[in-house]
Amino acid sequence: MTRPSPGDPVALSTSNEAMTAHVSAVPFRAQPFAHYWLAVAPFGALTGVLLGSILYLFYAGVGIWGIDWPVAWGFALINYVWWIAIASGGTFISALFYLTRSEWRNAINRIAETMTLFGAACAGIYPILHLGRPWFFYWLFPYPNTMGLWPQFRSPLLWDFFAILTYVTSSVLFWYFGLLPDLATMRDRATSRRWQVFYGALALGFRGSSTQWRHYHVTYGVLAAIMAPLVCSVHSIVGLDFAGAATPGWHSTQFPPFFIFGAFLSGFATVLLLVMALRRLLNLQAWMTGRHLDVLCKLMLTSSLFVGYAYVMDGFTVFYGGEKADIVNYTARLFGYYAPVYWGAVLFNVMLPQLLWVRALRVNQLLVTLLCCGVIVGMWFERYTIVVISLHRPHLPSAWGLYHGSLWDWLTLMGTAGLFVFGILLAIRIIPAMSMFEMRETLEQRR
Amino acid sequence: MRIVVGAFPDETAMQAALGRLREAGFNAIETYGPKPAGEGHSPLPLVILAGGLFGAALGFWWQTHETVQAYPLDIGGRPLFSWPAYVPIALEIGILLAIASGVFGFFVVNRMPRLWEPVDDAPAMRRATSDRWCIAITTETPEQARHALWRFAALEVDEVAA
Amino acid sequence: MSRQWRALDALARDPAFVTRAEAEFPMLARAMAAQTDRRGMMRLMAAGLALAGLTGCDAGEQGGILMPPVHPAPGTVGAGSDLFATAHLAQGYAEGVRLRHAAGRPIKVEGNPLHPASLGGTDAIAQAEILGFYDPDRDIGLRRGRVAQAWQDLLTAMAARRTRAAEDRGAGLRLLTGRVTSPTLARQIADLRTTYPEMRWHQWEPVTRDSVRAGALLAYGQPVQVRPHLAEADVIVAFDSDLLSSAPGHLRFAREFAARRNPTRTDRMSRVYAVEPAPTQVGLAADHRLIAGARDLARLVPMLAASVLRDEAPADAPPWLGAMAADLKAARGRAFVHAGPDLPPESLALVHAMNEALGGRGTCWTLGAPAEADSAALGESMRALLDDMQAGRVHTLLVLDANPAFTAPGFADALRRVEFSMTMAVGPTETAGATHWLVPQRHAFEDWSDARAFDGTATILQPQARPLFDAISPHTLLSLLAGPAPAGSQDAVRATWAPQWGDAAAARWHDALATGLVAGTASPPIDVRLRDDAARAAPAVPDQPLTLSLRPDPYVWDGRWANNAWLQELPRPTTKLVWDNPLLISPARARDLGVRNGDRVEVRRGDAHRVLPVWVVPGQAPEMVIATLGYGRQDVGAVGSGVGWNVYPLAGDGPVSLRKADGQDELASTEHHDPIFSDAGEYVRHAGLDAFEADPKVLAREPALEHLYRMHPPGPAAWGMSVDLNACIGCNACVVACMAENNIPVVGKQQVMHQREMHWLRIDRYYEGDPEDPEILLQPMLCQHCEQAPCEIVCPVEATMHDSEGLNVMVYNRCIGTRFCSNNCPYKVRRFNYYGYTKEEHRPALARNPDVTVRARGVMEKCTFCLQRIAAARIVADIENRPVGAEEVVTACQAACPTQVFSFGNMAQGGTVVERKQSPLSYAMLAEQNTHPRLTYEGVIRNRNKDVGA
Repeated sequence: MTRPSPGDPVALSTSNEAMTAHVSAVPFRAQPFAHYWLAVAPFGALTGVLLGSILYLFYAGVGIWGIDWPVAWGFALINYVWWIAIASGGTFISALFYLTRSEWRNAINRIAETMTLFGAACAGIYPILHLGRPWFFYWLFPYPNTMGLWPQFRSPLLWDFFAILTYVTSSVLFWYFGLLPDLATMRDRATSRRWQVFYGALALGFRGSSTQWRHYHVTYGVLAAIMAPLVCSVHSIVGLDFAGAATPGWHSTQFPPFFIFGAFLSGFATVLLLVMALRRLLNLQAWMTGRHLDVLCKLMLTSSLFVGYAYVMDGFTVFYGGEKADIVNYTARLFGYYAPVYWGAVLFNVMLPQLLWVRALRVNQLLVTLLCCGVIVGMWFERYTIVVISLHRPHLPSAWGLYHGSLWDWLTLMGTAGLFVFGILLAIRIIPAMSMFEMRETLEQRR
Repeated sequence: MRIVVGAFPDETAMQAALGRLREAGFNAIETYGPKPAGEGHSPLPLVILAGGLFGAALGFWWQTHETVQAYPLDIGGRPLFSWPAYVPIALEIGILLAIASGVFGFFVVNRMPRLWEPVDDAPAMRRATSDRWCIAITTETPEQARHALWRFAALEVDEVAA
Repeated sequence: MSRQWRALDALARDPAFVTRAEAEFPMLARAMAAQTDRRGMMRLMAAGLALAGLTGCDAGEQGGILMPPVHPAPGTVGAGSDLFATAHLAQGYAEGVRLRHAAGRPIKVEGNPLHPASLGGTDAIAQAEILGFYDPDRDIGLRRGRVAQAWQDLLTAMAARRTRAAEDRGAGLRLLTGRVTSPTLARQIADLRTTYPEMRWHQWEPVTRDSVRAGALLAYGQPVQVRPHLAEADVIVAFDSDLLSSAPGHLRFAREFAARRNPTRTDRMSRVYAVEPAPTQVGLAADHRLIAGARDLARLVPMLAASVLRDEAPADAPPWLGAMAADLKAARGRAFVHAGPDLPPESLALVHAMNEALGGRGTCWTLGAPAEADSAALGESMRALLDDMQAGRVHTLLVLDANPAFTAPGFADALRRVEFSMTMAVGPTETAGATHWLVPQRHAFEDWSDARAFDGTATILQPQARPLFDAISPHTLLSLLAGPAPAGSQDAVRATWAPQWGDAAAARWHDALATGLVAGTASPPIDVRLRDDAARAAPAVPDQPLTLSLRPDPYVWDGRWANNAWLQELPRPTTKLVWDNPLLISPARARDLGVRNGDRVEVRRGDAHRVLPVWVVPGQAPEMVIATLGYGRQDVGAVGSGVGWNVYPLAGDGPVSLRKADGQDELASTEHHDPIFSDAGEYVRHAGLDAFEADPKVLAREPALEHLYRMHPPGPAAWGMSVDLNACIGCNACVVACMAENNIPVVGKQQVMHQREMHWLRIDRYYEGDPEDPEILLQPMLCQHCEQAPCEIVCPVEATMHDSEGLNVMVYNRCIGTRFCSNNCPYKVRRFNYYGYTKEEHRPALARNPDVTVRARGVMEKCTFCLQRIAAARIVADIENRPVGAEEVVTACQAACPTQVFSFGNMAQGGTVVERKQSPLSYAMLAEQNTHPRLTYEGVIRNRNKDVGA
């Protein structure tokens, strides 16, 4: 296998049949790649850790976490925002770049969307765990209760609830809708009755008739055109969870776009990581080429510049606004107890990605892997900055305090990381890791 | 009635055959292929728009109704009708219904799920989702259809009961 | 923390108790056999506590109230709440209180407005005593050694002691008590002395106030007490004064002090100088706080005296001393000087001389006879006892209301030479563990007794409930020393008073119980001349560079309240420390030693040494090192045992050395960050009196705010509060009152270190300026009840909302615990139940206020403006078909406050709160947040003397 280069074509010339055979064979194989179970085991174990932490949390209460009086939101919210940002990046690739007819998007669309699904699943757990009385989470839902009472629609948290509900539902629908033709392919290629029934049921009778394709094409386009702004609205509303509060460090009108920039950055980094891993593990190099790495790196660089701009504006608005509590808060961010976290975020999210200006480095997979991991960690730092550093310096000095995540915080975080990878590893056992019907168009254009 | 299915190696061949079949007077023709083909009219964008608008309107009305009429409460000294705060949820409900009506509208328009159709019995159809393009002719005169398909360079022709 | 109430469960499982219960209530025994759920258990415990009282040898007086169950039988009509007067004893002196009873059980301590030592206010300790009353660790039982005894055995033992004492006319019989002001106890002791003429009575308090007594003796030749009338004083100089914190009568003094502190309500604001080694409560409220260590004080008092008495200007006096003296002299007749009990007697004599010279006698202060039954130098009294014990001259020792084994070094040793020793105590003490016998004493709230206030006013203490545990009265025990027939405590008290009252006894008894004081018992001012040599007293100046001062903890005191979780978790006025007693040092000394908060140092005096963590106190004199008494108790109950470090062994006079030791201790303070020394003015607005007089609006800074909308709650009442920061002395009585009223749980040291304390009301303390000598500002902080509350709009489930009367209401049942409201509260007054604190507390349900919901795990809570009190008033008003009056509702903090910092009321009806809100000093916290709080503050005005620097 040759080394990937930025000048690679978007797909090496292969036949439809060869591509379809290769991709569709993965789920049918006993092992999708060598040492598959070795990879599944640790992440499965981490998922078990997650379950254990959740059970203990329900038994003992949120007191097991590090949250305290001024910093009443901690890891749960950090992780929630972090995961939802990672998830958003996937939708962005699959929806926005569909609209721009970017041909490189077809090969990695499935990976991106699947990542979205599990990222959103990890994110979705946290708002419930976060509650003091998680068993009453459904009180957020507008159901007719005996008291005739409804949720409080002015709360950004409620907006968030609806945004996440919409986002998760839509992502699942969009993912499934995009999967339909491939499920039909899988049904028709399955050799065992078991798989035929399984994929046949999931394909819902999609058989590629011209009528189906006509409606499919139009619908998919419109859905993509809705998904792209949806993901922006969702992340804006996540930003409003903070910006909607009067708390120093949060009360900022730039939070919605700021959060979207962050979502791009961490989403692209995660997709890039997964693409680099899966193209190698599943031998997809013919269709995920150096060009893909190059494009994703450029996207990461661009969003890193956006994030850098937001950081600068964050400081500018504080001092331009001149409110004392904000200045105190911002100064604490720059020079206070948690300053390493903030500067870590700046380093990982803005400074290090600038290496990607160098064309050759964009296909240096080791370096790019490190940069991606850096960005993912850096984005976590950024969320930590927003949640913890802002809260630990409220208006009144009498209420200032510190925060440290507890063991259970860390276990839960690692648990969701386990769930994320575990979920993706399971998914590639079931669904084609690449969108075959879209690749056919790409291959055709290449020819 | 019988269904005659002919398989072609690529879209061009199929399109060529299709045109000539039409000229030959075959009308009940459906084509199958492994990738999106052909632009054309679809009612679904309108369905999606309607779903979205309905969702947004419903969401906004519902929030207004609950806060102004059904259970008015003094929340933070804000006006009962705090309309700017209702926009995000109205938007989200609108999007949810738009996407749902798109996906489910697609199923309705295509009468899905339909897990089996007579044409599926044709062995040629097995590859219609991978790398073959198929033409299925529903006809009273299958012999003519088979003949025509062979003539227009089908790789394979099957006949099944309709 | 969570273990503290275990003993009650143990009681309910106690086979002996079950047998007793079976005999009395067969149905209950059946219920107990079947009890499974926790709720059933609680009901049982309530009954069990009542039963425990029944089994005592003196079953209490007829007509007493049986403790009612927590869950009343269906159909039971609530009786509302009632107040019954009694007194809280602080170092033996009575502070009049009234106990509020709900559903027949005492649940809350309130001040007694009629009582001269209360005037309606209370202090933190009195407020917390209700928790002490319900403390299950009080159930210690009659024991000899470690073996439980029957009451009959006590009668036998006492008979033997009577015989033994009669043999030597009582020469070997000793009685050791705390400070006694009880006329009945005094009468009983006097009777004993006629029976046993050579018996000796010793008194002991670890915080002796001997210096005050000796100072009075030096000045007047007799142990008179000074009774300040601070409302009359224009200039007050306080040397390390305890006038507002713990001096007998301090609640009254604080009230009178505060009356002259707000320039909008007094014609002439007083000027207060506090000269002190560490911040006292006078210092916190003073216009000038001047730092002086023990050595400085020993020089400064004579210098001021020279200046005041002889118009001399001592050469090496600090620059401010002349201005202070001039101020005093200019206010002749209206000037008052006070010095605290830690100053040497000579200094106190000089202070007496200055006061006489300043001519305030009769206006600013009077002299009165001491309220004690027998004014004695306690230190000497204890030394004499120890000598006699060591010499084997004591064969029978009876310890009443004292814990010398913990507080008097050497006592435990000497006790081994005593043939028969007996302790009577309310709960476990170190002394009780060391003596042969332990007799459980009834709590003051379940017994008859009497006591005098600082001015001699007597109060008859009446039981507020049947005894919770099997115990007897000290009056009964003393009667057993006199003769074989045990006297009931009510009989003993009546026997004291009836002869004085003659025919009117029945009516006066009734009046005394109803009003909480015996009319006409206050001792009149006495006329005694100052001795001439008082003005020539010369305190010795210590020559040591380092002074170790042992001071009582403000709340745990000498250790006697160590088992009270409310007091343990009450932030100390300036350090905000809880559950600990580190060594307090100044920032300069911390720098010298190279230590920070929590680092350990070794303190050594003679042979005694202790390794203690330090806490840096801004504004403390560098030469002073302060260790706090009352901690390190080993035998006090589940809450206080093993908390902190015992520093009693460090008592003495020798030179002290200090060095850094290895290691660190984690200390719990409710100030969860390093002290901040700037910008306090933003929160606690303050200005000088001259600036205020030039422009009364000097503290007003609000620009006119513009509104997109402005909704006013439309209800018939409009609740509002005004907090006068000029009056606050940081005593924390309000905080404990709030905990008691609102069933606020304690969370324990670990959780406080984790920043999860639950106090709804806290007193913020800000420093401004130089860490060595900062301005210290206080600000009670509680829910501001914003009309446009930021917390409400972010709650997704409407768990917090506004009511029509302007209250920011928290609906616990609806809360799912998103904690967004807490994040969005600019004042950070919301508290969250991270764990099931209330449940873990294992505080018996019957000790809680039944009108206030207890909060579950995962629920937010905060100040409600005592909604339950508002609701009660609303019901009364509705019945009478009228609006709720302006000042009909008094919140718990307001009721407890000795200085009337808080005013609360229905602003729709006018009243004090409206007047106070119109004060030019009035301001809203963080007004720029546009929250429109219903709570406003009156900023601090300091009456500075421009001739005194800084």
